[in-house]
Amino acid sequence: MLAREPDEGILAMNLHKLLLTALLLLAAAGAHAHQATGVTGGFVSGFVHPILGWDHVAAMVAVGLWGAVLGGSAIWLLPVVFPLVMAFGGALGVMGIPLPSVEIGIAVSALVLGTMVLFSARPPLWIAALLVGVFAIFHGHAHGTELPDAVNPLAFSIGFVLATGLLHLCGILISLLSRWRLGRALVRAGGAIIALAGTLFLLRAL
Amino acid sequence: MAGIGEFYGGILHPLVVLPHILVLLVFGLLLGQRGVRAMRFAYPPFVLALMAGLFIAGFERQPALPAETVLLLLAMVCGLLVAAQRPPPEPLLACLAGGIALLIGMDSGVTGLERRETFAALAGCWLGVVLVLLVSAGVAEMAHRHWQRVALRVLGSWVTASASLVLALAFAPET
Repeated sequence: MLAREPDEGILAMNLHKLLLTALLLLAAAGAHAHQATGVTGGFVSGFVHPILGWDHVAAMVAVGLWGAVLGGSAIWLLPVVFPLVMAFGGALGVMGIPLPSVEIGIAVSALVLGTMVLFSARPPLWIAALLVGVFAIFHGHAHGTELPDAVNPLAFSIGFVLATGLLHLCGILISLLSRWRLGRALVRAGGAIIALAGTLFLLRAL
Repeated sequence: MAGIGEFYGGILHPLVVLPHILVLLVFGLLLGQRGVRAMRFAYPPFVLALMAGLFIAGFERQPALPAETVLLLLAMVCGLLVAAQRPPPEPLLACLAGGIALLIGMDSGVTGLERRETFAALAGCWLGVVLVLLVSAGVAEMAHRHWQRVALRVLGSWVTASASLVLALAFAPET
């Protein structure tokens, strides 16, 4: 076995510190002595948009969970595909092109993705990506319709894309529990809760 | 930027103009993905074109193109290339570097300042832009582990998504 180069070790350590600092900065709460306006206001409203909608939260966490359940390249392919297709749906919303039954589509996404996690479904990767992509259009459309009213559209879109990605990351991190037997049961239980929530969202939307 | 002087305000300028920071970050990731050789190839045209752009901006000439929209378009394309992990060949990277730098420079003009203050602001801006690209490309170049390369691709897809939404808004019909 080859010994690790000392330079590489130092670089890796520095990178870890850098990433940890970036994560801490993202997690830090600001002192809200003033109302957020301009770029900050746009970013904050975009960031909280997916987080305050439980239907979005459920579906985004399920994407991360399912990616990890599928394993292999799916763990990164789904979180890469989702924002790209979501942007397409968002563009439709921004352009004012109507999409039928957006709320139903979002609710079904939580139901279907939660069910996939519950049963640890492992379809071919292209089918999983296609399914996630179709659902991403509905989520993107819902965000996109809010964009023209945003204080700063670019800050808003960066905020909501970032929040969406972090929700995927939450799903992926939760799925790390599946290394243990109890963890696997918990991950599947998470899928069941998301599917149940999706059913409730669907009943409310119908 | 009040209170910190023209030079330091210039350094911070690329950090506070979202289209500038977005395109600089994602172009840095693209360069870093390609490696140190690409950075050596793309940096000279970037630095020189930035100087030329700032020189033009110093005469308060506005770019003929809508600079921010074009920068977002470039950010979207660079983000896609990062997400696909398909950095273009080095000559193309050098052209891209020149184009991005020229646009950022021309879009960083200041108004209502004396000649000395304008020079300080533009010199600060030059330094700030060069540093942001250096840091971004350097961090991306250090990412060797699998999960780190994946994180870069995810960041690329986020930039593409954010930029394309705003571009859609820019081209959306007036209601």
